[in-house]
Amino acid sequence: MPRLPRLAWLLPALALGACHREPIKLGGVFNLSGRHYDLGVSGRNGATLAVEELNAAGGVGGRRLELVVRDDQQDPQAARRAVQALVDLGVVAIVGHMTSAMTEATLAQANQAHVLMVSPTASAAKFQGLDDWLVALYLSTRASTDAITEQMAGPGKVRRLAILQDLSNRAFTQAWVDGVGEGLGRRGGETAVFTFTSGEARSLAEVAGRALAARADAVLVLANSLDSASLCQQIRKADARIPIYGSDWGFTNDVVAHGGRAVEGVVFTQKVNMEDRSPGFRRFLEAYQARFGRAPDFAAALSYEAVLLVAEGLRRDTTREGLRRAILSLGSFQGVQGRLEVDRFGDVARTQYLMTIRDGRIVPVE
Amino acid sequence: MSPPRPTRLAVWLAASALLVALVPALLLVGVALRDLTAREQERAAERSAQLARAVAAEVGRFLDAQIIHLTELRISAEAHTGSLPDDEQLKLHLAANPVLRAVMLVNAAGRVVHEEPEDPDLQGSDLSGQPWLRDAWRRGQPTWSAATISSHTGQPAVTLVVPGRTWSVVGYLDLVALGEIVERTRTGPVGGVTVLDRDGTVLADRDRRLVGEHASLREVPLVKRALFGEEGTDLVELEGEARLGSVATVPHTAWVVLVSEPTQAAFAKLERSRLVLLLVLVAGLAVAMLTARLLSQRILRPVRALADHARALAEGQAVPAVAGGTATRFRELDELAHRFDDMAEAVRARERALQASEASYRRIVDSPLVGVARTDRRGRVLFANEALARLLGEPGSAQVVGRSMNDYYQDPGQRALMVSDVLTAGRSTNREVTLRRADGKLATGLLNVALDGETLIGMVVDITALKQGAAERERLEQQLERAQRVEAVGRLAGGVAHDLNNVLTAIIGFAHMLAEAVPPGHEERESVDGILEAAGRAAGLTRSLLAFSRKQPLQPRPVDLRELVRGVAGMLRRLLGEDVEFVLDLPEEPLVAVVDPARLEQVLVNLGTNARDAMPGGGRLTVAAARATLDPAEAAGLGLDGAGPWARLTVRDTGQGMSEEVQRQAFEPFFTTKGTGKGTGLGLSIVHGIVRQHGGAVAVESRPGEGATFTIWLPASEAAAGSLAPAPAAPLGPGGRETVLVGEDEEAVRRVFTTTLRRAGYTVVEAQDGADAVARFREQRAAIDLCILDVIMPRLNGREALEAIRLLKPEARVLLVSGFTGNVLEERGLETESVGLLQKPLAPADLLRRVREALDRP
Repeated sequence: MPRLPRLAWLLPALALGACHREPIKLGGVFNLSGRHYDLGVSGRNGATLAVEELNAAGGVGGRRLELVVRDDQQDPQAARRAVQALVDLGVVAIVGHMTSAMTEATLAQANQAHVLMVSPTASAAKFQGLDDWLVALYLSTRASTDAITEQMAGPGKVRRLAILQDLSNRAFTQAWVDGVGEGLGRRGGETAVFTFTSGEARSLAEVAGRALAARADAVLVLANSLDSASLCQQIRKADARIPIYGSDWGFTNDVVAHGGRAVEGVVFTQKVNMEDRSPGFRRFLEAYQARFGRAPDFAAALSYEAVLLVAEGLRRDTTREGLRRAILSLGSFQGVQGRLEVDRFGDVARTQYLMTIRDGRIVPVE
Repeated sequence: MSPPRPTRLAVWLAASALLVALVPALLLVGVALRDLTAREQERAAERSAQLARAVAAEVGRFLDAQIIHLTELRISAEAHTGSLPDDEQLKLHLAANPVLRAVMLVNAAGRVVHEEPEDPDLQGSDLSGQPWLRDAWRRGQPTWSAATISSHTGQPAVTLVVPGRTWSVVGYLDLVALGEIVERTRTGPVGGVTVLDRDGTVLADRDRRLVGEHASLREVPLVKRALFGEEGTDLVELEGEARLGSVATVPHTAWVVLVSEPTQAAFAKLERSRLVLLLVLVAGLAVAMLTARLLSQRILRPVRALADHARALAEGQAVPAVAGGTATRFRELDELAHRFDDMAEAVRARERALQASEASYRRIVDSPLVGVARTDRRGRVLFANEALARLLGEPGSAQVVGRSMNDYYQDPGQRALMVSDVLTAGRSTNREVTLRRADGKLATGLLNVALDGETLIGMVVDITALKQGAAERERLEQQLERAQRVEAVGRLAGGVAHDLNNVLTAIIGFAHMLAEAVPPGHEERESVDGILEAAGRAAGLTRSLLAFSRKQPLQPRPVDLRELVRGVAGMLRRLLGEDVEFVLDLPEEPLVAVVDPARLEQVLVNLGTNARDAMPGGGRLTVAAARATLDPAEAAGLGLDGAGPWARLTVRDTGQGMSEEVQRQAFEPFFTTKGTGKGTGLGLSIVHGIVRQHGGAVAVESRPGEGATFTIWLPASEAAAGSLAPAPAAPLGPGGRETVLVGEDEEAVRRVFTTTLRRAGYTVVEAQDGADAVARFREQRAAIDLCILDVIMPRLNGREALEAIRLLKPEARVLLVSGFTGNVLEERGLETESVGLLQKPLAPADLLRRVREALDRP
């Protein structure tokens, strides 16, 4: 056996190399089984795709990324348990949550543990401009509400707006209620808010009926996609003409399937242009389709982007503190649709898109 | 490079047997294993695939049941023209089918016209945007929506559309039943069954979490292929575990059933079979090994016995016959045993011969005469016998072995030369070598060195004594030759001197008579004196010759040699002159020898003269006397008889010395190194003659330029020394009246004697020879007062005549006359004191004086 001794000296080196290749653990916390699971599954899928692509390209600094996913069940307690589990596992950062409510529930934990949370879609204004351990990829609701009230001020000006608010994601919906109320108020308009809680409401038809009874010029639906579709159906059953507006939360691909003709013409904001056919975004679309057998939505794209941002930071520093410093001082990074600016508070500025549904497809508002 | 270590036969036999057993066994096992593996894998795959197909079929049946159900409803709705059966009937339907959670009747525009259970949210809802409704309309067949996970139940749900021309029935199905199917499927404790929807999302699995979290297995290659309609079985990795998976598609839907099992469990039977096979192999091997061992032992036992016997034989132990004791089953081995016994016998015989030969050679090697050594080429001794050790002065051969022979050579170059000769010539050579013994003495050896392989064998004979003996013999022979030569010359000289003395006696006698007749002053007187002088010189010459030839009569007595030397010292000093230092070295005790002092004085003077002549430029002369002993060999070497003690006289000069050639001839008469006329060449001859006459010896040691030492050895005597003063001369009577018998055969001499005696008044009776003298004495014995007898006479010589006369008259006074010494008398032990000796030539006055002394002696 002459080969063995000659190879033997390699063993420590191999062991060392193996140590060196210890994967970097990246946490992912998404709502996979509770209400609004559609965002969570998309977020998980987007993050998964990004990690798989990075690893296929050799990892980050020669080390593999390992995505450790936990389900926050859209439940504050479950979310806190999930985040704590990830912190204990030694993840360098956490991608998630997908909703502002869950982000609110665990941000204190992240701050305390000095683990950076990179939320693809949490967008409540209250997270803006804080020196905390949150990086929010999603522009705050304020930009969305400003864009939507601007649109409302256009032809067929909305003076009286009925808002259907789902309290189950109140951190998000309240920001919208406040923003739109303020925006309309500036223009002399007013709002009437009709609240419900997803899954608890006995009948969405009844909720919609109350809103329509307020004789508003338009209805703003702040709910998840299924509820949004259902509410649109209820509204259209009663009033075929009243303009409907929606939030980027509720109006995803699912809303088209569930809403049928009821969602035609609904105007809503999006921070990802899903109609973008630039080579980069098309490649992402195709890869996602191939990987998950379905088209991505904005949540998947943003989650994908969140991992890219973390990877950019990890190339500079692989410690928790170092990663935060690196990301906050990046200035800009390559997102899924061009370069994006990150400010010193970890807030990412991005373009607002006003979209509508025409013939069963989501298209930009002309 | 060392040769490869030979394999042990037992190992080889065992290995061979093992190999014989192993190779087919391994081949068999390998083939069996390959077949088994292939078959078992095939079986496992088939089992898995069957299970997947079975589950898929069951799911399909389940879905078919729903289709049938909804189709019934659609038919019923069409029968009722746009309405479902009454509520009670529908409720019964729903109650009978827990899977069906809700059912809707949708019109051609996609609006819900009826739903059960009642749901205001659904009532009138527009479902035309739903892809599943569009699909169903397009296909005109029952169509399934994509499965979703109900956020209400956390369980998968699916929508089934059974389209119709005017009405379509939409059923909302709870797929909990899928979970029940999965649970029901018998897959073993570790097997898994997963139902996946058309994009790979888990619809049912024993792990409910996967369902709840919308897990996707789309990335599993087998699943991905199945999603494109390809069924099959493959190894998959699920959550980090290797499993054997099979996929089957569910009829009507693009759903996939994945059945998987950890490979360990899937191939457990194969592993068991492998293990059994391995155990069989191991057992087979063990049996093979055991058999091989037994076999090899059976073969090896006699071989080992033979080996033991061979070892015993090699160690010289008594070995019994092998063949008788160990009959084996193998003819070849028995044959070998017989041959071994033959060989053992032959070896023993050869050993005996060898021992005899060895003993014989040992005796030769142990010979006390020849030293034997074996050395390596550098000279390190590997073997030495006792004789060599003795020769080298070592206590034993052990002290020699291991040392270098160079240590024992006086000149190691001698050995190098010899070894070089042997190595270049390739044959043994003989050489005389000088060895330095352990005690520092030198020994001469005759050495033979021969090459023996890488070693050298040296044989050496100690020839030290031989060499010494040869040298001694040569010396003795030379001495003898010299002595004989001197003796011969002496005899010749003695004979000449004797005859000459007779002539000179006559000449001197007659010349004296003539001188008396010619008065002084007469012119003829000068001539007479000239005759007398010449005759005197001739007489001196003959005396010297006689002294040398030891024919000169001695008058020995005990003398203290110290006194003798002191007495002659003054004369020697004068003789040596101013330039030569004269040193005396004499003992404190008397040193007595019986010598004729006058003769010994002459010896010292002659040696002194010789020394002076050797030191023309001056030097030192040392005369020493000492008492000495000689060992018998030395004494014999010097020609000395007797055991001593000896008186030694040494005369040493610092002169020019002598060559060996000169030394050899130094004592020969008439040999001289001095110029013509400067010496007679008789000086050292006389020394030799006198010393020999005294029973002593003289030796010379000299080297050219280093002076010479003459050593004289004389028998020492214990007698008291007498006075050296010469006896007072008796008054010279002019003559007498007594009657004297003169027996002399030489007529001229007889005439001189008778004439001289008669003129002095004596009556002379003449006799012509010894017998005549005895006859005359018998006749006139009363008248004859003194007999003068020549020693050498015809008929009776002087001695015989003397004896005869003494018989007649014991107190007869006798004077013997001879040209020789008085040896003739001494040999007979006669007291020379009682007999006067007259030495020819003899002056008339001397004759008269000696006759008067003899007559006057009391």
